[in-house]
Amino acid sequence: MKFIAFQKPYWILLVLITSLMSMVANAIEPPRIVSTDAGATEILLALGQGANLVGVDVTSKVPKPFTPEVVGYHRNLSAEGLMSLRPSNVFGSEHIGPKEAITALKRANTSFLLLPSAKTPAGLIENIEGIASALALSPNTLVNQVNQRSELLNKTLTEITQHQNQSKIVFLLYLQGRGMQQAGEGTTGDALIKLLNGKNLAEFKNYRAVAPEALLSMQPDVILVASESDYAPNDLLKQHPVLSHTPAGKQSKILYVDARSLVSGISLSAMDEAVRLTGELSK
Amino acid sequence: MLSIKNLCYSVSGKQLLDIHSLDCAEGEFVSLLGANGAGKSTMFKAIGGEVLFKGEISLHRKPMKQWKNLSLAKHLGVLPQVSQLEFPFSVEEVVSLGLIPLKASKAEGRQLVLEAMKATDTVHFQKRPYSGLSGGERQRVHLARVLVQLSQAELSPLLLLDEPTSAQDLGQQHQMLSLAQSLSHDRNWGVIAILHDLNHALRYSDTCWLLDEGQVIDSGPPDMVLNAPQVNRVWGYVPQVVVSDDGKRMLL
Amino acid sequence: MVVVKRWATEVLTPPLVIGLVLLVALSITTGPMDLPVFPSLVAVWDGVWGSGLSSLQEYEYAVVWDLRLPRTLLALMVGAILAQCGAVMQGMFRNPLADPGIIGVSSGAALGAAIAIVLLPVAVQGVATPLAAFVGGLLTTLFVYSLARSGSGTSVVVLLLAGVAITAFSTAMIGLLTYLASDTALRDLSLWQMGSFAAASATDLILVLITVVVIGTFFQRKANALNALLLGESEARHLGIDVETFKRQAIVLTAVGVGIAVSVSGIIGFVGLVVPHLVRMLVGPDHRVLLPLSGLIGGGLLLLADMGARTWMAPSEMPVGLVTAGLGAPFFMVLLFQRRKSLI
Repeated sequence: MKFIAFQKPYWILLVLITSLMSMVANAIEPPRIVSTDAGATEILLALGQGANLVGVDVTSKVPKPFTPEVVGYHRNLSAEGLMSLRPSNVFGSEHIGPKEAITALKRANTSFLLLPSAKTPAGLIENIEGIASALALSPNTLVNQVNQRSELLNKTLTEITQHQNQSKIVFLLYLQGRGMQQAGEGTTGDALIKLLNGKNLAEFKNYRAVAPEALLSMQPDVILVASESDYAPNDLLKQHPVLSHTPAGKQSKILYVDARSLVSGISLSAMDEAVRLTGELSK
Repeated sequence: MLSIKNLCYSVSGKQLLDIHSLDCAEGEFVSLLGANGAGKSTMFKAIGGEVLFKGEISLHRKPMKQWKNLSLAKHLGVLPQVSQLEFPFSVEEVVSLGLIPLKASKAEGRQLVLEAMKATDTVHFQKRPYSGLSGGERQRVHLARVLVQLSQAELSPLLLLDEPTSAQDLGQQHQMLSLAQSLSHDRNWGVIAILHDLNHALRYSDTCWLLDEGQVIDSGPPDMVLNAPQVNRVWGYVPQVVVSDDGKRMLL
Repeated sequence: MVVVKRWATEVLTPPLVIGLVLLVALSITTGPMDLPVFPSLVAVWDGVWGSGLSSLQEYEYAVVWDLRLPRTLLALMVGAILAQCGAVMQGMFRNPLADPGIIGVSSGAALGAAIAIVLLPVAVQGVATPLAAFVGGLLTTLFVYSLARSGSGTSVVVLLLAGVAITAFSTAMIGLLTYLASDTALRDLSLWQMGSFAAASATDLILVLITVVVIGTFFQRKANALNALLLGESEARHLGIDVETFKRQAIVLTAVGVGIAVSVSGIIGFVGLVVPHLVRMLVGPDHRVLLPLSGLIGGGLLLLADMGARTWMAPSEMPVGLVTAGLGAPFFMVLLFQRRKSLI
């Protein structure tokens, strides 16, 4: 996981402490948790619930040694498949479905916590608190951690804005060889731009395909390239050399974003990614 | 039994059929002759109710439009020239399709089908797939089907044959026409057959309708109708008339 | 000499019915959850007669009654509808390649569903998607049909070509919609197009039951008309069939049937095309036996496919359309390879 890679000692310590706490709290019967949302899975892992995860959706990344079953796509869950895992708690986004599966699970006395996708650190904290309280855990350590991150982020950003105006940012979903999609309002890309205190140049909702020429005319200060490979910015420039004439291109501010950290709104890993990006921006 | 009055049929201004009056009696074998495009098949379509025409065609004094579908099906059978089947039927199954308008128990149905196959000499390949048959065999299978269809007629049925001999060999041609002749003479059916061989018309039919450009230029006994000048007028060929050993006229 | 061999219906039907009953029992007793076999079956009895004989826990009882039974019945009936409508379309158009979607029902339904999934808010999609799919399928068919109709009747060629054209158009429109769609909508759309019986509600079941009864009885009564049509339209007319009326009824009824099937379960390919062929290989093209057996075998095969869909990747679920096409297509190819000589 990206965030573990970055602040390794800290996170490991956190994981250890929280798992120890939860082990004490639930010594008799540990919960059986299913998470159908990548963000929720991250929070559960950070709360030390890795060993209690019995099922996760396809977008969740769970590190070894935990081996929960994969329950598929969160809009297409199998009611009986979930029930066969005998979950005590199901965490997922509010778009979980189909509704027949949810109704059936509710009848089998499974407790559901459906969380909105977080668009801000405050939303993330609410989700952490929600999950922690559902499992009777203390959210404080993790919440503090998020707050620290948030403060660090703001501090760096304030420093940056002392030298320059609010950055005009474009967020691109880079589809290797199949063009690129620009993030509009309501997307996680947009949330990330806001987190970076930037101005999203897109004036539409959702993702839309965008031509290199249109990007050039927007004159972005920063281009964020979301991909699963950190080679994506180079790839993009090689494919569309014209982008080197944008302000972002001239100042080497065509930056890689790990797309995997953004599958579920402003998650813990998205926070880490934002911190890393502010480091790059302040260069 | 069949009476055609003032039949007019035209497509986009072109007159395809213009027939003042024609009658076919019970027990009469009519040959319908004419050059290609004279309107022979169109006339069959008009009788079969497949085209919208002006005028009146009636069967047993009842206009075609007043006949109920199923009742008409039992009294009017059409043997098509070619029939494609995209699905793997056996011969017996094709013949059994003639049972559709009938009321018959399973055993009765099977009996009717068997009789029709015997009459058309198709019994020996009844289990074979229809798709494996030659053109002539297929034609006989369909004739058997039409015979089944007409087998429960309350009044004398009318049988329309569209070039029934086109795909048969010499022996089968005569078998086919003898069968048609006996249906009309022995069982009192009305039979109208589109024929190409004038000698077939001379030999088997009682009456001949000669069609040219949608109009009946002559009708009557074949000996009278098929004289050299009229054959020349229709087909543009002057035949030589000879008399065979059994005293019948033939055209060469 | 090549001889046509046919299985007698009397011989074929009892084992098929017994097989189907066993399949239903199997479907009720298998799933990602390990439920005891006998009590699960008793639970079905309990539910019907209000008795309390089963030893199942309440939530296990719910698995049988709320999950397995509805989708078992839905798969059976949708399979029967699709297979019968496929047989009817192939017969009516005298085209062994026809499937129930050939007159544009499926593509129109897909377009309707795509509009609902992409353009409408998630909250109303539960109701809106099936409704839009049904309306889309029906409108497309009526459009195709009115295009093919003229004073002298309905042209099959125009009908088929219009079906192809409208399918191409729908595909383009769906492409446009996917271009505008959010990631979630895109994923939903592709899942919908792969079909599923997971969302079987009581209303769905009632709707599909009515459809299966209406379609089954109507076409059974018109089996002879379909047989006659195999000879050709004018031959059918000579056999006393009112061809135009029947064509109109058959098109509307299959459109409604397939539209309902698609709206409750998404697009499930291949059943409507393959099953009638399979049955024809056994009993021949006579619709009087072809139709009921197609319904029986179509239902059974789709149920089998759904059992695969919900167990193979458990605890997650595979779209059943993938199973039908993924297994149906190769199976069909093998069958064609073996039987190619006897098929025309």
